[in-house]
Amino acid sequence: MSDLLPPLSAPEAEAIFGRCSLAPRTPGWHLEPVVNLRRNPRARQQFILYTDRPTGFLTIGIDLSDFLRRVELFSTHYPDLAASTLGITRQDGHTLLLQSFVPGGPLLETFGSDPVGLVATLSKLEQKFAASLSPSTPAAAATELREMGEKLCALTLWTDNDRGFIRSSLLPWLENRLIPTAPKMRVSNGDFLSQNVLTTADGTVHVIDCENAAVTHFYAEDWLRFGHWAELPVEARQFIGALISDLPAWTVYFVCRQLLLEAQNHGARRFRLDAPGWCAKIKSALAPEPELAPALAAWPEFTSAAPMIGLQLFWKTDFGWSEPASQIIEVQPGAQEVVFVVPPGKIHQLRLDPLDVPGTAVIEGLRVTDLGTGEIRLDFPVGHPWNHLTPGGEAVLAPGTYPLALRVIAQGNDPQLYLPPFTEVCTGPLSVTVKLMVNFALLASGRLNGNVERISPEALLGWAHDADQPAEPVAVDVHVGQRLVATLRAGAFRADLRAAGLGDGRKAFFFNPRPYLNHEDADIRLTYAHTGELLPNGCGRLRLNPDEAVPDWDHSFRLSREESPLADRLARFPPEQWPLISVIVPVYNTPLRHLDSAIRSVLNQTYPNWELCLVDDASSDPSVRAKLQTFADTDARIKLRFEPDNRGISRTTNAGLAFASGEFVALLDHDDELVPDALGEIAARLLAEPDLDVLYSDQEKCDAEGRSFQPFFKPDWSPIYFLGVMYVGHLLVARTVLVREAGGCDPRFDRVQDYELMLRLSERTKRIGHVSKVLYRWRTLPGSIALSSHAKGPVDDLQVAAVQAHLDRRGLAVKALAHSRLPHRVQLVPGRATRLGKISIIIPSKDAPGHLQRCLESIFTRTIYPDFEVLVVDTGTTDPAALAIMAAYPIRRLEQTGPFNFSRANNLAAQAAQGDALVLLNNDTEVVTPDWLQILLTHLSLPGVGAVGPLLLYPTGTVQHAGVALGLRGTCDHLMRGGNPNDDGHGGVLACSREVSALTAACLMVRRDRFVAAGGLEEAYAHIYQDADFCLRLRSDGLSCLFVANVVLRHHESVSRGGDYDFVDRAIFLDRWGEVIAAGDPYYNPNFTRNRADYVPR
Amino acid sequence: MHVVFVSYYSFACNSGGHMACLGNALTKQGNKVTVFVPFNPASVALHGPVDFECREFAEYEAWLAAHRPDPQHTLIVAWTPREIVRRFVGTLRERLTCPYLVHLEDNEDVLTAANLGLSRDALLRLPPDELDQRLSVDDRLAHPHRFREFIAASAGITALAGSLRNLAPAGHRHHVFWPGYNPAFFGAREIDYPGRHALGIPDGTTVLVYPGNVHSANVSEVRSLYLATCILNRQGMKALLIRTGEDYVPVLDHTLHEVACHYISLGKLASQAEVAAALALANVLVQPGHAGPFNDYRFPSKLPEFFAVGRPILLPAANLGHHIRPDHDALVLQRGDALDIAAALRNLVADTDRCAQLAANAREFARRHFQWSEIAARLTGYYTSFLSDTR
Repeated sequence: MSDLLPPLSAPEAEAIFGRCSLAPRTPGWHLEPVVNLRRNPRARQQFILYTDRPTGFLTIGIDLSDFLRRVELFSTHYPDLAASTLGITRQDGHTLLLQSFVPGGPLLETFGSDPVGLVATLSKLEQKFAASLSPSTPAAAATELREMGEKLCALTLWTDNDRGFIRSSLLPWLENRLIPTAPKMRVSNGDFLSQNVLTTADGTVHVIDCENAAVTHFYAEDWLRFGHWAELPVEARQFIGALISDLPAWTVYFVCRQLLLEAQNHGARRFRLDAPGWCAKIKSALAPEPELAPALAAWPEFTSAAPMIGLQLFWKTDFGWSEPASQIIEVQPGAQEVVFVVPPGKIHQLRLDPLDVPGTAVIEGLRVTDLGTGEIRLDFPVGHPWNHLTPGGEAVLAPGTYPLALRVIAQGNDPQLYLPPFTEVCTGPLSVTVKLMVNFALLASGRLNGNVERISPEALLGWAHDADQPAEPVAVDVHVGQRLVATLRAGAFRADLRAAGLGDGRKAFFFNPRPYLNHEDADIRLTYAHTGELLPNGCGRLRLNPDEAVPDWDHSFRLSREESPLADRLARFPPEQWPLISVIVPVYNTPLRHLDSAIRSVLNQTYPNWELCLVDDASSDPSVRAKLQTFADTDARIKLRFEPDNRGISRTTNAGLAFASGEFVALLDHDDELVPDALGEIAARLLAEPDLDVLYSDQEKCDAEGRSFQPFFKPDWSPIYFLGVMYVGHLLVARTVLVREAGGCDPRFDRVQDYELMLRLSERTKRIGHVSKVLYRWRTLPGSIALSSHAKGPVDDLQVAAVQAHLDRRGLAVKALAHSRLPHRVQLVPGRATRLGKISIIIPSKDAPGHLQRCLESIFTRTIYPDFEVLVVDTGTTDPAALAIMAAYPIRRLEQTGPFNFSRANNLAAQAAQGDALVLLNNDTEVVTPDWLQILLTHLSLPGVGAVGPLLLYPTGTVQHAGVALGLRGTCDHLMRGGNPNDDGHGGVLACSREVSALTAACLMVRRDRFVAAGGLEEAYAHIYQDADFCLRLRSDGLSCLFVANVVLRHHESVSRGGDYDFVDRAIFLDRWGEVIAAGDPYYNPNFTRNRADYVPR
Repeated sequence: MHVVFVSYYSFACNSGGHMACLGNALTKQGNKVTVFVPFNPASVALHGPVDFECREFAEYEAWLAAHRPDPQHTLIVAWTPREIVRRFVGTLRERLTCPYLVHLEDNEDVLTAANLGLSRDALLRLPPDELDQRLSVDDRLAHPHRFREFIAASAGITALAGSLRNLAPAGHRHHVFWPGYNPAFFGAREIDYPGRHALGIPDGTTVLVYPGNVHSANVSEVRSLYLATCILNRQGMKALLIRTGEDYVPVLDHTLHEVACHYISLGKLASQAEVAAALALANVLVQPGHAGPFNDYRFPSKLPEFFAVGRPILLPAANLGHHIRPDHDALVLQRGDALDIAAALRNLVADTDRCAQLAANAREFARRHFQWSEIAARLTGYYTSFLSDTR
C-alpha cells in the first residue's frame, strides 16, 4: 500500500471527520486546510478545526502511530509546552489525530523589538529543558551517535568513499568532541526552530512541530539550530553562544542531522549542489582540527557532498543570492497564471514555491509589462520545458530591440525563474505574468529517479534509474552553459546502488567536465535526456580555479577537447563489456599520507569497474597495516593481503597478481597517484581497440606536497627506444593472462622489475598501445628514483642485464652496453664478430671537390668495416679537381645525364650496387664514428626495421639531425636541430636509438632489396622531401625507421644547401601525406609544440 | 502524377542540369513537372528547351491559387535537404499536404563542415546557437540536425549513391539512381584540335579537362590534378590542365607559380554546349580524389558526360570507381593523389592503343548506364508508389 494519500479537499476531509466519533462536533464547525502537502508522507494533510475560533488541529494520514508516539513523548516531558492530544481514530482507511490548537505567534514576532524579553523567554525554555535532564553513559551516547552515522551512511547520497570517511574519521572525531565523561540526555522536539516556538501576549510559551521528537544526548544542537535559522539580536546570540561549548563540532553534527531530516522529508534528492564558497567554508571550519585536518585535506569527496547540505542551509550567502531580492510565488499542480510585480532595478530572480515534489513546469507564456512605459513582451514557444536553459525561442522586446538572454532554470525541485536586468530598458516596476503548466506526475510516480552526488571540475558523479524500465540505462544529458556536451548512459555498476534496491546496481554515471571549463563560471546541468527534467541536485556552477597553478602541460587533458568526452567514448559500449581493471599496489612501510593519497586516487576514479589489490610486504610499521585494513573494511572493491614476511617488490607484486580477478592489471606504486580519469581513459581505449594487450600512458612527477612538475610525454610503442630507455614507466596496464603467462615480475630484477616485465611482455605481444595523456603522478621522495636518477643506486647493471637477456631470448646478435656517461641509458652494438654482408655507399655528387675529398677521405681512412663499396653518381662534374679526386679513391663512378635529380641518382646507383645494404650519403658529410657501418647495420638487422640513420652534427658541433618528426613547419623537420649532442635530451632522445617517423637521406642505410621493392626514391620530387616520402612508404609497409644515437657523422650542410625552397615539392609531399601528418607523429607526443623541434610542451 | 521539384539554386548548377533532363524525361512519360528554384527560373534555358514549368519560390502562392494541385496526385521532391529547400518545402506543405521525398547528392555534413571551415566532428558538436549563427550566412548549406529530421519525416529518399542511405533512418524507403547525360550536348567527339590551337596549345600536349567548380570540400583533390600536371611537365612530358567553372576557394597560393604555368581556365561556362566543347579538347579525363567521407557519399555529376564523350577516364577508388570494371571501363586510381595521377597518366599516354580501347569502352558504359529516359521510367514507378500509399 502506498504511503501517499490522494490529496483531499476540505469537504472530503470534512466528510470523513463527520463520520468519525472524534469530539467535538459542535454545529457550525468547518475545516480549513493549512498545509496541502505535508513533508511527512504519512501525515501529509492537516486542517484547522474552526467553530467560532480555532479549537483543534486535525491531522489526517495513513499511519500516524510514530507521529503520535513522538508528539506524546514531547508532551509527556513538557506538558506545559506542548499541544495536547484530544483524540485519535481511524475512518475509511485514514487515521485522524486531533490535537489542541496552540495559540500564539512566532517567538521573534512577539519579541522582535525586545531583546531582553526574548532572552528571558529563551532562558525560561532552557530552564525547563535543563530540568528534564537525566544521567546517561558515554556508551549510550556513542551508540546514539553511531546509529545516526549509520542512518547517514545509508543515504544513497554518498559514495563508498564518503561512507568510509564518515565511519572511520568523522564519527570518531565527533564522539571524541561531543561526548563528555558524564553525559546526560533529554527530550528534544528534533526541529527546534524559532518559528516552532509560539508565544502569546501573556508570555505563555509553546513548542510545536514535534513529529521528530526524541530522547537525545545531543540536545545542545537545539540551540545551534535555533540560532542558525533566526535573525537574532546580539543579546540572544550571546545567550545561545554560552550554551554551545564546541561550535565546530556542533556545526558538523548539526549539518549531519539536517541532512537526515531533509532526506527523511524529501528523499536525498532534495539537497542542492556544490558551491566553491561553501566547500571552502567546511574546509576552513574543520581544517584546524588536528585529528581531522589530514583526512579532510586528502578528502575532496566529503567537502563536495557537504555543500549539498550547505547550500540548503546557507544558500543565502554562498550562492550569491539574496532572499529579500526575490519573491516567492506559490504554484500548484495544473495550469495557472501567476502574476507578480517586480520593483524596478532589483529583481533578477523569482522563485516559484513550493514545488516540494520533483516535477515539470512548462512555461506556456510569459508577459512582462513595464508599468512605467508600457508592455515588454517576451514570447516563449508553447511547451517550452521549464528545465531547459536554452533561450525560449526568440525573445521580442518592444519598443526597441535589446540583447536578451532569458534563462529559465530549475534548481532541483525548487525552480527559479531568472529575469534579465530590466533597468536598462524600463523605468517603472514590472508586472510579470507567467502562464504555467505544472506537472508533478512524472517524477512523483517514481518512474525516473536519480541523484547527482558530485559536481566538481574533475567529475560529475551520480546515478539514475527508470522504474518502468529497470534494465535499461537512463540517458542523462550534460549541459555546460548552454551547450549540450554529452549524453551519458547511467549504466555503471555500484554496489551501494544494488544494496539500495536499484536493480542490479548498474545505474551510475560519471563525466569529466574539465575540458569544457575555463576560468569563468559555467552553469552545469544534468537532465534526463528523455524528459528534459533536471536530475535532483543536477545543477551547479563550476570554473577552473584561477589560483590553482595550472601546469603548462595541462593541455594534455585539454587535448580531449578534440575528441569525444570520456563518458561518451565509454558509453559507446555496453557496461557489461567494460573491463574490470585490477590495480595492484605492493606496500611496504609507506608514509601514511602518501599511502592514503595513493589508495584514494583509486577510490576517486571516475571509471567504476576496478578492484584494488593491496599487498603488504610485511611492513614493520603497524600503522600501515591498520590503514590498509581500514580501507579494506570500507569498500568491497578493495582486496587486501598481508604477506607473512618481507620478500621484495617483485614477489609482492606477484602476490597481488595472483588474486587479481580483472581482465587487466594496472601497476601502481604505493606512494604514487592515478589521476581521476586514468582508468576511464585506459578502459575507453581498450574498448575501442579490444586487441590491445598492453597500454601505457604519459606521466608526471609530483612532490611530497602533491605539486606537479616535469611531465614525461612519451612516444607510441617504440621497442628499440625501450631497449635504451625505461620510458614506458607508469601507468602500465596489461592483460592479466599475459602477465601470468610471462610469470609476473622477476625478483632478480627488483628495482627495475616493471621494466624487465615489460621487456618480456613485448616478446609475447606487439599489441601495445599508448595514451598520450598524463594519467599517473610519480611521487618524488628521498630514496625514490623519481627524485634523482641515482637515488636508488646503480640500477644500470640491472637494466643492461635485463636488455641483454631480452636480446638473447630473441636470438639477436646484439650487445647491450651501458651509456658511457649517462645513467639509465643503454646503447646497442654488434654482438659478435659475424659477417654482416657487403655495404654499398652511394654518393651523388657534382663538382664540389672539397666536400667530396673530405667525405671520401673520412670513409676510407676511418671506416673499420671491411666489406663495402663506394658508388659516386656523377651528375655532371666538370671541375678537374673533383674529377681527380674521384680517380684517386677506389670508387665506382656512375654518370647520370640530364638535370640533377637526387632520387634518380640514388635509384640509378641502387641498380648497380652489389651490396646487401645501401647507404645513401651526401657528399658533404664526414664520418666520425669508425664502426659506423657495423652499428648501423646492427640496428638495420633488428626485426621490423626498414631504415636507419645516424646522429648528424653541424661543423660547429651542434645537432643537425636526430631523426625527423612529422608536423613540424607544416610538413616535417629534423629533431633537436641545434642541440648539444652531449645532452640526454627529453627522456634520452639524444642518448639512445629510437623509432622516428623519417630520416634524412644525407645518411640513410636501407637493405637493397627493400629499397628496390619500394620503388626507390620518388623521382617526382625535384629537390626535397624524397627521403621523408621514402621513409613514410616504409612505414606504410609496416617497417620502422631508427635514429641511431651511437653513430655520428658531420654534415657540412650549410655549405652544400642552397637555392630556393621548392614549394612544389612541398605541395606534392603534403598532397600525398597530408592526412598522415594531420593524424600526428606517433613518435612525437601531441603534447609537444609543433613550433619547435626540441620536445617542448605546448 | 504531378512532381514538384524544389531546388536549392537556379538551374545554373549541376543539379539544375539533372533536374532539367529528368523533368523532360518525366514529362515525356506522361507526368506533370514543376520545378521551384529560389531565383532565376529562366536559367533553365542553359540546358536546352524544356517541357515543364519553372517557377521562382516567391511565386508559390500565386501558383497554388492558379493550379490548385491535387494532393492525392502530387509529390514534392526536395532536391537536397539544405536549409533553403527544407524551409520552402515546409512552407509549401502548409498549403499543399502531399508527401515529399528528399533527393540526396552529397554527404551534407562534409559539405557544411568544409564550408564552415570545421571538421565534421566539430560541426556536429557545435552548440545549437552557434550552429544557427554560422549557418545563417548561407542557407544553401544543410543543418546537420535539421536535415536528418527533415529526411526522417519524409516519405522516402532518392540518392545518387547507395552510401547516402546512411543519412536516412534505417529502413527508410529509398531509390538509388545514377544521373544521366544530356544527349543534346554530350556525345562521342573527336579531339578538337582547332579548338586547342585557338587556345595556343601545341600539338603533342596531353590535355586534361576538369569542368566544375572548386569549393572547400574538393579543393585538395583538384589541387592534386594541378600538381600532377606540373609533375608531368617536370618530368619532361608536355601536359596541360584546362579548367572550367569557378573557384570559391583558391586552389593555389602564391608559392606555386610553377604549377600555375601548366593550366588555363576557361572560367564559368554559360551553357552545356560550351562544357561539351571544352571536354572535346581533352586527351584524358581525370576525376581526382580518394575514398573518404566526401567521395564515398557522392556521384560526381560530371562523370556521365566524361563517359559520353569517349575519352580514357581515371576514377578514384570511390563512388563509381567501385562499380566499373577497372582497366576496362576506366582506370581506377588507388590513392588518387598527384603522384598517383601523374604515374598513371605517364603510363597511359604512352600506350595509344590502350587509350583508344578505354575511350570506346567508356562510350559503351555511358550508353548502358546514363540514359535519362530509363532513369525516369524507374523513378516514375518509385514516385507513384508514394501516391498509392496515401490513398
